[in-house]
Amino acid sequence: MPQTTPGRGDGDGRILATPLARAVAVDLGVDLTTVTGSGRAGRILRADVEAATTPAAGAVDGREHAVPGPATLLLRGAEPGAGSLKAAPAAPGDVDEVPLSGMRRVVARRLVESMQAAPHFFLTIRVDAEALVGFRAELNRQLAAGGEDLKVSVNDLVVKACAVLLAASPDLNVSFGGDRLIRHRRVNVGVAVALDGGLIVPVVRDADRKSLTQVAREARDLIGRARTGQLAASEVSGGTFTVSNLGMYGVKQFTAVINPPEAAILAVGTAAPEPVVTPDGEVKVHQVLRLTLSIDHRALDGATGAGFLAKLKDLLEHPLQIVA
Amino acid sequence: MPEDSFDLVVVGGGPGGYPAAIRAAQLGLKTALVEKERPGGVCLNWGCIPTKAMLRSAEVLETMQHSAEYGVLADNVRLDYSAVVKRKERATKTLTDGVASLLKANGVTVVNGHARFVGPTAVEVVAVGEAPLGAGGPLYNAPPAPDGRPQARLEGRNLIVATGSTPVLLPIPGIDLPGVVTSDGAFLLGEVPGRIVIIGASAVGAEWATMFNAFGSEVTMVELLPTLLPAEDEDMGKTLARSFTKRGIKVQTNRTVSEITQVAGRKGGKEAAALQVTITDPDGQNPEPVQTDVVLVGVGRRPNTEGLDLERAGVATNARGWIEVDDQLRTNVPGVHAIGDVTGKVLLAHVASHQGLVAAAVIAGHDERIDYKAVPAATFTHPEVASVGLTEAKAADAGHDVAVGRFPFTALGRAQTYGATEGLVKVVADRKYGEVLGVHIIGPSASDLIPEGVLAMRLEATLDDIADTIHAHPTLGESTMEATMVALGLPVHTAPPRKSRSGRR
Repeated sequence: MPQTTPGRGDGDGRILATPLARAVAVDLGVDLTTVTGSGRAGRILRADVEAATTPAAGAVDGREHAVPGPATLLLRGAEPGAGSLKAAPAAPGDVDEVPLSGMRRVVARRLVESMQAAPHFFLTIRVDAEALVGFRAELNRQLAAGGEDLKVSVNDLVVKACAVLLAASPDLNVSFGGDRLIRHRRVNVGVAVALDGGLIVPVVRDADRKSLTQVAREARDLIGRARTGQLAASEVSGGTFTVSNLGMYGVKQFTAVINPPEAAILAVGTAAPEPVVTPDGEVKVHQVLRLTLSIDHRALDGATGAGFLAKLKDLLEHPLQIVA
Repeated sequence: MPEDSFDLVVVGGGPGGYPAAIRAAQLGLKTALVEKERPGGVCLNWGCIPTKAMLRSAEVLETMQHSAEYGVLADNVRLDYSAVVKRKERATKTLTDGVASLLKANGVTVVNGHARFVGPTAVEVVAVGEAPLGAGGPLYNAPPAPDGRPQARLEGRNLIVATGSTPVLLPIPGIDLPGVVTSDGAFLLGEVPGRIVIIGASAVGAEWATMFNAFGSEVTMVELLPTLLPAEDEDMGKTLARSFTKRGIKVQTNRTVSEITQVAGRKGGKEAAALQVTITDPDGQNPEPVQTDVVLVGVGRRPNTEGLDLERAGVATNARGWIEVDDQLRTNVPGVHAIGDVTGKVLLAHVASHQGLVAAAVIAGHDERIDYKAVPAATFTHPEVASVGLTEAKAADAGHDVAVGRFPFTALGRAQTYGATEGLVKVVADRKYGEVLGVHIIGPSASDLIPEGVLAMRLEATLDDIADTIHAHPTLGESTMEATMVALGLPVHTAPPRKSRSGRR
């Protein structure tokens, strides 16, 4: 079998770009593998190529595409972190070199960029999830009884709770803009989805204004299509906050890397039985959930993050408030 | 009074409203549609479709009158206008019945009547009043019945206003005389007018001019601006004016009408009232009286918002009365959307339909937006005109380094064999990358040729992409390919231009 050459773009080496975008890219010297397309199915349009050459601007008119997108962030410096790895010595035959997929490259660059640019700090809180788990079970029973083909997950409840909080006290719904703080008027919550060889964060737009079942339905649709590679570029951009969940692997608690240009990300662990001291001093076994908030310290301070977490804990421990 | 609640209530079942209702139902929303007459709106009942049916009769008549050119001899070719109208009725009925059954098949609840807002999330439905032009005339813009007590109340978590627009009359002395009609009234004429003056040479006026000219009327067209179809590229209007003049239509551009009066005249050998139209320069100079039987005004439309009680929902309109919407068709009131003519964005049926589909998807929770960059327009004159994108003048105004390619149908094999050689294809591009900025076609089947240009613009194709695409021979579609070759400076089937584009990219 002939050796495959590193493909540009996705697995099959094809880049979806319009003819005009290709001509402009050649003219401006833009590598199309670094550009995120905004057209249908991620097709790269002329405007995407031009945006990739413009320095990330801080100005925001309230629309999501004015926020620096991945391409602009990636192009601001030399490829961070790429050089040292290339030089790793290896005896021939000891290693297999696997060319990076386009997605892997984007993930690698964005995470290095995020960790280097944003001073992260982490806050963890323990949530008594007994009521939340019960609420979810009851809700799903009622949905099933009503003939709905929908199950609300703990993650959907966390996403909706965060959206409610972000709308009510928008301190965390911001981006660090260099010489200014960008406050987002819309609450768009990203849901991190693990894929084979990568990671993608589809966005539930206006999650604060949507009902819990709408959020659940939309998240399920986005996650499903993320796994089959059918998301449009517009569906993975414009997020203002992200929720990442590794609970399904039994992970109790972890820290997540902020998804720029957002300023915070919530890492959700598994809900598992643990001893809990109730308000009246009894020790009971309840479902317990650990949440870890990562925050960009350039934009936000510890007390702000802690305040958010405390409110989130309160909301999740009294889940009727989420839908109230 | 029946009350019911829905995920979505659509007010108006025209080319915007009915696709919105169908799509919403497909996306799982419980949907109701309120409509005053047969579904399909102006487009199916009083616009696009009936005029196209009648224009086809006009085309058949013209073809038969010229059949000797094709070696086919026919005698005694005559027009039966009542049969033309009956054929139009059959076509519209088939289509509106089809829409009704599609709505039913998709589970949309259709409510007949006039809807008016009683709050931001509810409408009440009352009986429809009398047709403004009398029995048999359009009902889409009829007022509510004067004693209209509510027959139903529909609650909607979301509402779409899709009530369309109505032709306007100009503030000219005599505009209210009998015999002065808009496109609505033109359907009710009952016979082909001996003489007709048409004010306004946009699509509506130009199509009626084509039709009545073919049917034997003496047609005079008056247009205030310098060219016919003033929204189109100048080459389209000029070519159309030459063709119209050749067909016997009197074309008066840069002219206006100052007054209409009633005069004594003769009709069918008998004394009968006629109209006299005074046609002048824009500044009132050089008046010319023209006698006519009918005056058709085709100059503009206003939004159908009367009797909707929009203020009870708090829906804002702009200074000219159109409902303002964003790129997700949202009005200022959460949950209330507006689509189609009533938004005043682009008054075309296919834009309304697309707005409707986007609005339905947005209401169902999808993140869709409308993009008006590549919107085609078609005018079914003989010859047809169709276009997409920027005119040459607008491209230059926008600062483009404009490259233009014109290809005449006389140079095309298929056009010669077909016997339709009037017109041209004109491609407007930016020289730097060969970006296609606009495609303008006047000639045979222009409306069927334009999608290639629309797709080219939507997918950001360049001149080379079209020039390098193999087109079947001999077809009318080759004309677009040839025009791009002209724009590239490498024409095969026309003489090379004096000032050619330097090389290919």
